Amino acid sequence: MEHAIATELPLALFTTLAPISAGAFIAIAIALFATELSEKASKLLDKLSFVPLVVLAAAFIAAFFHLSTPLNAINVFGGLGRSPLSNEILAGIVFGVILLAYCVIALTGKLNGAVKKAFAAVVAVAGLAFAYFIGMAYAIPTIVSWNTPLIPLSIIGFTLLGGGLLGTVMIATAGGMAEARKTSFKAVMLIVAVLGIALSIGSVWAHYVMVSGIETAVVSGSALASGLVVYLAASTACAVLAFACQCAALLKVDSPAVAFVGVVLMIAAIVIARLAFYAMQISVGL
Amino acid sequence: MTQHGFYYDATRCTGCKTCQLACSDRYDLPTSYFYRHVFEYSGGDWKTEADGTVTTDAFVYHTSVSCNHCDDATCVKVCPTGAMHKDGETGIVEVDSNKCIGCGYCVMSCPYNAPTVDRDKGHSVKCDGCHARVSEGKKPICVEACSTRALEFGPIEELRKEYKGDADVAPLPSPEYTKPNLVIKKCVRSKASDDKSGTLSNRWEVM
Repeated sequence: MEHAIATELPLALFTTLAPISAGAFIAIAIALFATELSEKASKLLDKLSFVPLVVLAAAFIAAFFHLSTPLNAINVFGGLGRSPLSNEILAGIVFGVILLAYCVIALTGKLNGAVKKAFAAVVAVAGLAFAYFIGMAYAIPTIVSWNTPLIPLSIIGFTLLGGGLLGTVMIATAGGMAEARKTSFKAVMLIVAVLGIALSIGSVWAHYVMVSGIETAVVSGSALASGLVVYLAASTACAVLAFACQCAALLKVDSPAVAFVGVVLMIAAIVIARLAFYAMQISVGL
Repeated sequence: MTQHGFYYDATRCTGCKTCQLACSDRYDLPTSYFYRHVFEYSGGDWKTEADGTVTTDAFVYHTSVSCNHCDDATCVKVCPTGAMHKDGETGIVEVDSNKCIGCGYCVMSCPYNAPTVDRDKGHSVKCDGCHARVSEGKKPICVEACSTRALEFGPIEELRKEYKGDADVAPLPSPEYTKPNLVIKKCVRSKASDDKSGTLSNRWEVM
């Protein structure tokens, strides 16, 4: 784990903040489809649309710290279609551009009605696609411990729960939670949260079991994984508390503070899980 | 294109690591990484029989490996910038330092532990088959330095024809993953790459 912290912290932060940014519009889109927000809440929510964009920018800035020569980053599209990393970055940029377009148009006040709902849904789908490509960046056949669908599933879980929490913070800050709670928003978002926590925790522990069964000439998967149990348990505890915050925000609490605490807890949960993931790298060879 | 590669004779190698150090000297590498590694694979046990005699199936052997300039190089496939590429004439896998961002994706994916990101240089670094020396008609420095003549370098088809062999040796991965251009003459104790009876005994030296 010490090695993962020393070498992969920027990537851990990227794969934490990016899914949270990518999932925020799932909550926004559901709110817009399910609820007729007051004009005041709607306008404030439009202004807050920049929040996921700021989180996404922070994610990419963190990723840049991982690179030895960030100035050559313009070349990353050279591997499109071939390199999972190029695909991931393109998916992130497409998501960012769509999100930025939404924010700018929403601020002009010209985004209303069905068009606004459809646009929010497009942002949400682009975010989910980005989350999928983040996970697929680790599907490398020569890394036996990472080449599993559990990785994209875990990232999608982080996106649903972490992003859902960020969206809830935005809606609550805009003053729309009391209205949204009276509609199907509450039930749908609870389902999203349950799916998020199930995928987050389930995939992380299934991956732990999988790695425990890998033995190579270089690495004992069982010894490696057993040393990470305490970290995975801490991550799970943070994720469960974050889920509880989301439930409280959706069921009862109008203030954004509870969901905000949930976002912080989810950041902790994902960072720890991601560092443990990087520590569980086992090659088919050396 | 004439694909080039290495030949390694496990029956000659003593594990002295001169190849590794000669390479390190030639390219003035820091102490934190090598372009070539000598892996020690060992295993087996001692068994006391009912009559009091002791038998053993203990073994140890070495495998000297640098970049294998694979036909299906995973480092080339995953590289987002195209910096990691195969030379059109020799098939040698090289790094274009003007394109490389130093993301380490090649390092993660290579099952031979060949590339390294040198953060001081700002890009990935690895064996280029001593391109400059070979173009002058010389041998790679590791080949020339080997005191037991356990290494060779040249067009891989010629090496395969002359020595016959593959790279299916533990602790290396199955050649199916990347199709390495490496011919190994196995020693008596050599195990196949899927062997589970031994371990990499100098892990902290080479990983």
